[in-house]
Parts: sequence; structure tokens; C-alpha cells
Amino acid sequence: MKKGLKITLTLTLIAVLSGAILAEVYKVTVEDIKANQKKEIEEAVFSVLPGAKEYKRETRGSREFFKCFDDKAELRGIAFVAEGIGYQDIIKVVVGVDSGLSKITGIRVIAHNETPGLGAKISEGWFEEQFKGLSAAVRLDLVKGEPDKKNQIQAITGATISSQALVDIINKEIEDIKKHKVGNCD
Amino acid sequence: MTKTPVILKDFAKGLWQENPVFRLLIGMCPTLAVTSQAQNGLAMGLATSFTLIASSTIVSIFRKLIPKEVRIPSYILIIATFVTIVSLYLQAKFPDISKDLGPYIPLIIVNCLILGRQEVFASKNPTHRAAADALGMGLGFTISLVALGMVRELLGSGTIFSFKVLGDGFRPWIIMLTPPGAFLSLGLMLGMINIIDRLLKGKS
Amino acid sequence: MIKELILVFVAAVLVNNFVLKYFLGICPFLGVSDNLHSAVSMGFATTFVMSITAPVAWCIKHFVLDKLGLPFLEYVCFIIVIASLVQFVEMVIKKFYPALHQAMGIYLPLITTNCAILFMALQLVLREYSLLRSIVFGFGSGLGFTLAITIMAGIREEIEFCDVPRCLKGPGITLIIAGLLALIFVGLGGLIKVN
Repeated sequence: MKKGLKITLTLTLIAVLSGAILAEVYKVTVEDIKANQKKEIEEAVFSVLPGAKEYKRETRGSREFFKCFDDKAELRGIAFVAEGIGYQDIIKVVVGVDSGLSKITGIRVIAHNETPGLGAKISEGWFEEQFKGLSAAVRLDLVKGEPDKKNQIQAITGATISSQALVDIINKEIEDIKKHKVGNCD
Repeated sequence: MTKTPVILKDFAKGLWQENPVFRLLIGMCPTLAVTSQAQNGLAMGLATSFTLIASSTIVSIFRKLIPKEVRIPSYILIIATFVTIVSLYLQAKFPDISKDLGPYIPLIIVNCLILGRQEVFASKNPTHRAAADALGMGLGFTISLVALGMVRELLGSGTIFSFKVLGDGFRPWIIMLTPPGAFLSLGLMLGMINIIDRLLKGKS
Repeated sequence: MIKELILVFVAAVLVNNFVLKYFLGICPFLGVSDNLHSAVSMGFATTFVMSITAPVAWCIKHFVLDKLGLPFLEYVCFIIVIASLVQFVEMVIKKFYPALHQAMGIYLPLITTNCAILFMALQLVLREYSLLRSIVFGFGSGLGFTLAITIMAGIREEIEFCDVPRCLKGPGITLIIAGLLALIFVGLGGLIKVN
């Protein structure tokens, strides 16, 4: 009986101490953690919409998006998170379009789990750069080698599936964002 | 040998004789998982070392108060607490590292290296020896991770700690960055360590 | 709905195999794979614990941690749950199925420190799986582990009779075989495609 009491007491004591210490540590760090998460979204949103200085999170139906304004509080465009399956896992990408939903202003892959050295190149600058300035009115096409027509994206060598997946995700989600009539159309 | 202070011996054995990765083969999950880059190996090594040193010290201080029957749950609780602290700290101060190591940080809790040292060493020895043992084991673990990370990064992307080492003529062996590369390179490294060890023993 | 569950299952068993893709449960994978019988027992014991852990972890997350606003206790809670579950399962099996306990009894305590289980519990929270999906995910991950460790044990039994270079004997050659197995599983990567 005495032994049982000692065991219970020890475990309870450790658990309570652990809980108390963690609560304190959490209190100290939670502000920084939240600030980091906010900064990550902010950086991605501002990088896909050049000139944006301020953003407002809005939702329409199930669709969430960010309205972006420049320093004169004028609407610069819309940024949104697009998501879909890549070669083996989910790819998340922030896409920026201008306020008339006619042009892609930039993309930034924020999360993926593609093969390192191959598919993982979708998050490299040169690949993302290709999307800048392309029309959002027609679908994007993926080609192997140098693009020779408008709205074509050059696939990553050895990673056609990952490249295609990203292009598909962006095509599909731009359609979706148009359906929700965000931006200046409303 | 007999003149070497005990504490120094406790520290030094983790580096080679009882190196956790290359000799004892424990803590293999993070070893293989995060070493596609030397930098991640270093971060994981340091995070694990911190947890190990902190837990060993605490366990050793209270070793006479913790009842035998519940020692394992007690150790796990203590370890889990420190791992949560590490995880929160990394999220707050080093968000990039936290993102790179991602799901492997909480797994430090079940790293057999840490629980093993509590059971085998910290629970039976005075605090200063437990701390020295933890420091040595942590350092040995970190060195192994960095070594494996350097080999994989060099062959897989031609860089070490993100500095370009191999020229443009080098075509990266992408397989080194993928799971098969991790298994293969660790397997071959174990073989090399065995050869070196045999040579050392042959000399003495 | 059914299709989605099948996808989660196939992904957990083959495409994202815990051992060969995420390096989880390497300690038992290297330690218990020297004979086929114990490898299979270890695999099924782990699958069993994982299938139970998944729904319990899901409930703890949604009914306790979220309700009370204690996200920072996630690691501590999950590891306690896993450790207690393993203990509980062991007691139940010992009482009601003594034969089964004889077969896999010694492996049960080892399961607590199998990182695959903690990883699985944390992932189903991170990926915001529903309860049903979590159960399928837990079961599938366990089967994936069983598959990997069984194949490995089969190969290692054959290797016994081969002439392996002296420096690679034991863990060295095992890791190299694991690398080749992982290579096969990389090929399974394109097995599922969701669009």
C-alpha cells in the first residue's frame, strides 16, 4: 500500500512539474511562434505580388484569399494558397494574380515533399520565376525543353510529374478563384 | 590508462569506443532521416545532446527518489518535457531549422540513445559522472550525424554546409539525398569504421 | 469516401512506407529482423498497438487538448498514452490469450520506444485526418512496418549462408540491403495519383 502511494505520488509530482514548466515556456515562446507563422505567410504573399504593402484575409464560401493593397491603399491583386497532390505528397503554393484576375503576378511554393534534387526543384527561384507575368485567362501548358509559345512552362529535367502536378494545381485553383468572383470583378 | 580520471573516461568513451551511432547502433532513426544536409545533422545532434544532458542530470540528481517500478515512465516524462522545450524554442527562435527537422524533433523523445543512457548510466551514477557521460555521448552522436551529413551532402549536391565544394563539372549523385542513399552510405560507413578499428587494434 | 480510405491505406503501406521512406522503427527493424518468426511477431504486435493508438490519440487531441487549449502538452500526453496502452495491451493479452502472449510477449515492451508509433500519432493530428481515416492510417502504417521487417528477415536468413566481406558483417550489410529495398519502394512512389 505504502509502495503504491509512493509510485502514484512520484508520477503525479513529475507530471505536475512538467505541466507547469511547459506552461511557462509556452507563455514565453508563443508570441514569437505566432509572429513567425504570420511572417511566413506575409513574406510569401508579398513575394508573389510585387508592390503589395498590406493584406487583408477574407473568405468567400470555402475559399480563403488575401486581398493585397499597395502603400496608397489601392487594390494590387489577390493572393491565395493552392493545394494539391504532387508526386508523392501534398504541394502547397501561394499564387498571386492581379486585381482583374487576368495575369499571374508570381508564385511561391511553401510546402512540398518531392524527391530531393529532382522534384524538389519546384521550389527553386528559376522555376517559380517562369510563372511571372503569364496570362491567367488560358490554361498553362508544360513542355520539355525551351518554351516556344506563350503560357508555356519548361519542365524540370527528370521531374516531369512534379512539374506537371504543380502546373495542374495552379490551373485548377485559378479556375476556382475565378468562380468565386473575388477581386475587382465583384 | 589507470591514471585517467574517471570523469574523463566517461566523457571520452562516447566519442569512439561506444559511439552511439557507429558502434552501439542506437538512435538510428534521426541519423538516417535528417542527414541529407550537414547543417540539419548538426542541428539534430545539438537538440538531442541538449535533451540528453538535461535529462541525465535531472535523473541522476533524483535517482534515489524515483521508485524502481515506475522508473521508465518517469524517465520518459522527463525526456518528453525537455523535448517540448527544445521544440518550442526552435519554433520561436529558429523557424527555418524547426521546419527542416519538422516531425523528427518530437521523435527525440523515443530516441533509444536517451532512454538507454538513463537506464544504463544516469540512474546508477553520481551527477557529475552522468553529466560527463551525457556530454560525451551527445558529442559522439552529433559528430556522427555531421559526418554522415557531410558525405551525403557532398556527393548528393556537391556542397558542404551549403558551400560549393565540387566544381560545375560534377554531376550530383541525387540518390545520396534520398532514403536509399541514406541506408547505403551509413552501411558503407559502418564498414569503413570497422576497418579503421581493426587497424587501430592491430597496431596496439 | 471508400476510395479515399483505400488511398490512405495504400499510401501508408507501400508509397510512404514508415521504415523505408521515413526511417521510423529502425531499431527493431535492425534488431529483430534476424529470424522470420520473431520479425512477423514483432510486426503484428506493432500493427496491433498502432491500430489502437490511432483512435485514442485522435480522441485525446480533439476532446481533451483542443478543448482545454493545451497544445504544448501534445508530446507528453501522446507518449504517456502510448506507454500506458502498450502496458494495458500486454496485461489483457496475458490474461485472455496466454498463447498469443507467449508468442509476442517479449516484443511488447520494446514497442513503446518504436518511434513509428509516436510519429503516426503526431502525423494524424498534423494532417487533420478524420477519425475513420486515422484508424485506417494507423492500421496501414503498422502493416507497412510488418511488410518491411518481414522482407528484411527473409533476406537476412539467406544472407547467413553467404560470404559477406568481414567489415560489413552484421549491421553493415543489413543497412545496404535496406538501401536496396528502399530503392524498390521509391519505384512505388508513382503508384497512386490523386487529382
